[in-house]
Amino acid sequence: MLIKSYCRITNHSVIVDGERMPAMEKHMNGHDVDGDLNNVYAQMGVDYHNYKNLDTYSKLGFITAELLMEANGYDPDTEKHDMGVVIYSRSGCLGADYEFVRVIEGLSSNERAYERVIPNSICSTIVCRHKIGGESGIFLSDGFIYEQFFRTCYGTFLTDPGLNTLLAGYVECYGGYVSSLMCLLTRSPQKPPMDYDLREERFCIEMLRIY
Amino acid sequence: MMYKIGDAVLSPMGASTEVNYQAVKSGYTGIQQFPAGFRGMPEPIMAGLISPRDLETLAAPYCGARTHMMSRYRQAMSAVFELAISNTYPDGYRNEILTSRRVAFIFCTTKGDVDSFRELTAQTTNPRLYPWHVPQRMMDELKLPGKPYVVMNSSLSGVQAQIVADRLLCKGSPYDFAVVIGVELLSMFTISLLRDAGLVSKKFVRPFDIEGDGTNPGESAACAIFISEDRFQKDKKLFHHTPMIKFRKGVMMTDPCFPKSPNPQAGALSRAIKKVMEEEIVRNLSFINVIGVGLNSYDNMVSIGLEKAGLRRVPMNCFEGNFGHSSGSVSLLSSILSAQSLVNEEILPTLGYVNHGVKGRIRIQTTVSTSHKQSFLAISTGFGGVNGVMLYTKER
Repeated sequence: MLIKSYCRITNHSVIVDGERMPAMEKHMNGHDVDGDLNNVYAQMGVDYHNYKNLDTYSKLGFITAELLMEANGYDPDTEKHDMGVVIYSRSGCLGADYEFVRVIEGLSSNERAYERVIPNSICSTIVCRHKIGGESGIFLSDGFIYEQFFRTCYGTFLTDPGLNTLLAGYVECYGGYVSSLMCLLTRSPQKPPMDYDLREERFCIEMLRIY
Repeated sequence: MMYKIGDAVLSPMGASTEVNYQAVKSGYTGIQQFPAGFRGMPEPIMAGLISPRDLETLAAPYCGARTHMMSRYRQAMSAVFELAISNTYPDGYRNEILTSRRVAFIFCTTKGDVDSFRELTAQTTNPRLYPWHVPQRMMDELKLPGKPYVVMNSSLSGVQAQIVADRLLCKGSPYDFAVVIGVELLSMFTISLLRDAGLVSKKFVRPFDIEGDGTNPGESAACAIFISEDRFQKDKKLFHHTPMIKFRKGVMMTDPCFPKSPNPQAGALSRAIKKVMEEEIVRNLSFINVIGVGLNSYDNMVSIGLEKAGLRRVPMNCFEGNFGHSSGSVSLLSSILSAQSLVNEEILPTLGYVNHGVKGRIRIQTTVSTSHKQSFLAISTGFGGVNGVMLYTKER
């Protein structure tokens, strides 16, 4: 399994394949996460009908995926049955959950708050935008555990012969903290043959380099 | 591929796979009417709820003197895990699962420990709110090594967790066993979520029926323990020709649609069924077990998907009328009971179905019947256009 391309966003940086993106980065001030992400979105010149209804966690996932897919020349209108989406997170949609608790308690009124509380809503947003037809799923863990990431993604390639690319990574956006890394993963060549442990070790070293 | 060596189901109807199996076979339901005010709910609700007292009693032998201080979620998780361990065959694996580093723990849920959500703030520091925290605590207290895999994917979580287990047990991986645990309990938070999503019906749930207008929320916990194919082949003589349930293939596909509107053409579901059916012929299918979100639009999509795949003559069943909808664990629970019915050479009935209410021509099972066929399909659909299909086979 190879990392073909990646996009990394933090409170103060936007990086695609190792290249900093000053035009986007200038909007990441680190104080107002939602405002920063909205400014980056505006800078990208993308028109996605549902963007305004997303929570910050989904906005971060959406923007990271968008920058990565655009950098790799994918047309958002082409159906991609050979591509899947896997996202790891620490907090998931806890921010949206909090908003929903406020709605239940009558402290806020947002009839659509429940939509962002559905745990896989971040995936469905990315899937809708890029017409991805393969597998999609969310994993939560205490931080970004490279071994878990490798094992689930590698296993996906191993058991699904129709899958050629995985849009996979880590998205964390809660309590003012922003960190995302999304990668386009592809199958590694069959030769030379390599055992499981060696593949995992090489992949984790690569992740250490870029994350 | 992997083999199931242990399981347990905990629901309002009982605390073992066998008790729940017999309840479904007899057409019992755990769903009842609860009055307004019950557990702080503003309106009366029909739901399948596990009594907190029963849960505490059940968990006490495993959680010890501090049981009453633990959340219901933690109690249910421990109880169902220990029940599955004690129901593992052959006995020799029990100790190994509790001590070996070669065991992967996979947890599936919708929201984790829902009772703690009242403590949510904009910047929470309470670790209990993180869905990975309670599984990690349970593993730490039982001295189980490693970190949990926590899967969250609408009603599909149980199916996805089993597919993940299969992948983690692939050739060369660091695991020999996978323990899949699904727990779903209800609180004001989850009921409000289901209600706002338009899933909750005031009447008894009627899957695939003309009068179906939603589901009844439910609570359940389920656990399945699997062994990798490599290890199974090595230890084959331990199994003494017992019929074994083998997970042969699992596929997930997504329809790029919007959260509440499934694809009426069942595009992704058809693709998933087609991929799984590359491994099996229709004639060998004993039945198809289906889990949806209780909405007629999803039932319609499934019926069309099954008809398109040429499966309209295969009996189909759904246990939503017995347990209600416990999204994080429901598909794991249904697979366990379906596997049991494959072993028993029976097809379980669908409670609540009377008059055909979906567009696809499918055969819905309403009575208990006998079947000597070898395989079954488990199908699950959920919000976000996700569809999962698994193939299980009985091997002698």
